[in-house]
Amino acid sequence: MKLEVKDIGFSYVRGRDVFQNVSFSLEDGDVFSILGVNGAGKSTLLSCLAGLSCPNAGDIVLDGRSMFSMTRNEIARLIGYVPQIHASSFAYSVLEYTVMGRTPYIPPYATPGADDYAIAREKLAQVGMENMEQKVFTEISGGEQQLAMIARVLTQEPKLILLDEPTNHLDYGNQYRTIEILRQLSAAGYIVITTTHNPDHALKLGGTAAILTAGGGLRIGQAGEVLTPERLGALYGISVGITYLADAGRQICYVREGQ
Amino acid sequence: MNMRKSSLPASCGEAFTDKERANSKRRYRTTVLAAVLILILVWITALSVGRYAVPFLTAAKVLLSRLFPISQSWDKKMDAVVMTLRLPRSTAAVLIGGALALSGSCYQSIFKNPMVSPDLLGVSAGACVGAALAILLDLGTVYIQLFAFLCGIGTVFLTTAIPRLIRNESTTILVLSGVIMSSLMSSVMSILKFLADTDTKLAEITYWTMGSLSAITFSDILMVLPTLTVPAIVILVMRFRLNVMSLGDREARTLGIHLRRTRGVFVVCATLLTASCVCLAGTIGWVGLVIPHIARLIVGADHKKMLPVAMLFGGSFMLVIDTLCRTLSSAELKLGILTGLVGAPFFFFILIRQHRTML
Repeated sequence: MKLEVKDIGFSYVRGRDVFQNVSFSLEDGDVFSILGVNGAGKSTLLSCLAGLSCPNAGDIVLDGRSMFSMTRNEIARLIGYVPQIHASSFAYSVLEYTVMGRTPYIPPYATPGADDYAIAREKLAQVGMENMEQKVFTEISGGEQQLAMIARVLTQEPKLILLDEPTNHLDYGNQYRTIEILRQLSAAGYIVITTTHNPDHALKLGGTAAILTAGGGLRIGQAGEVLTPERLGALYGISVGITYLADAGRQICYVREGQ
Repeated sequence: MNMRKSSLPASCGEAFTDKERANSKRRYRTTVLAAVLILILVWITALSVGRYAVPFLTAAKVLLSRLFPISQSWDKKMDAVVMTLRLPRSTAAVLIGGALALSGSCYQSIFKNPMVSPDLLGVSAGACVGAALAILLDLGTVYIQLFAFLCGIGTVFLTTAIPRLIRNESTTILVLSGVIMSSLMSSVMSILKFLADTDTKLAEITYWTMGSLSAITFSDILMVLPTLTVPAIVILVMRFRLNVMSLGDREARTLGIHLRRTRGVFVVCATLLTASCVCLAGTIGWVGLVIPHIARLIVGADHKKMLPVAMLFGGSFMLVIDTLCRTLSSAELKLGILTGLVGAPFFFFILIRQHRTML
């Protein structure tokens, strides 16, 4: 699938512009990380891409069709959205939770059939959760919830997967495991768009990266080129360094002391 | 694509075999069967106990004699007590219990909030105001139902509008705005009662809101049967959508749900159910809150499994309550007294048991 974002802008009815003139295009297998300070509008941008918020200007085109001319169901078959981990009130089993990804393919009057459960089980196995289908979603760990959410989005069989700060609330190990999963998703042909607070995650992901500034502009390019110590330093107001670390086998991002 | 290597270590426990899946299916079937059996036992007990006692087996025989040819070995009085006195009343109790449990489950899912119920949202109070208004205006039974429904749905709308208006959609604010609307509606109710003619209308309105099944007949039940069965069928058929709605508005939309349309269908159906119950027996609290919780505790949150169990439990619960109401003392107790007396402590117990997942 080809995603073309054309000059979209968003502002609240009575308020400042959140962002304007945002344009980029992505194709199957591309990975795109969005960085920005708190309140810069990363989540809003992601909401617009998910069709949850409507931009005031511009167009979002999926394979030549404007998203705004599509029904919710048509969008749901192309775009999957992984929200931030949040407290859930209802204690579904992991399988019951995952199979909800089949919603776009199930008519309102029907319930999931054997095929739908089979797909959900297959996707749970893909994220290594095959032994947990009867566990209660509200009782598993944050890392496991994140995996179940990703399994649910895979069950939706979209072309584009959006993730809102997927590493939030995860421990150090699970953060990097999540990043690794995102890389595998893009290798499997999904377009992956994620927001993150950690520039090192964007460096590890590679692909395209963008910095959403407080002024509402978006600087886009190859992750290695856009993410420079100067830009990141100016963005976060701290001194940032980027260096190749042979032990890590890649460029890493770190904070410099005393400057 | 294979993510096994990188993913989290799978927790302890063996892979789920088909046998284990079959086991969990069988456990669910057993639960449903048990719930049906309990309902039948409670029902026959309800038909046999009372001021004029009918032996349990005789009550069962009287019922069966209407389906199969059984030679009558009991006296006519017993037959009349069971069939014309107790059967309509117990049928109404079962219908009301099932309907309130169903509408409670439905409201809890669409407001993503296990703390809401028809009475907490003000639906019952609103429906009562509607009914009282129709009585005051000298309108017929059909209009009483129509007004009850319209005022009920109006109240839900206002209750859910308050959190949106102040841009705080937390559980606390929704419950608070339910409290606001309920007390507003009971004030309106008092005004209506004040305006009512003390000799005729007041008695009728009071009788209405008291919540009693004492004078119910089959024709009363027939009146509300369409507005009970049609919404119930719609909710049951669309029950998978209830799961998806309970994830929250944003997630439901990204899963392809047309939010306003779907929520509209569910709110209308759940309100119709509640209003129909109010038409039959006035406001009855707690059932719509407590029963869905018990059902979830036993079979889990999936509405596919939980709704039938909740309806069966709701029916049995109301039967027990109504039977206690008419047998505990020589004067009939109000239904709401006992549902509160049983429901409130039970709810406290549930809160303690599942405090982690409640709020």
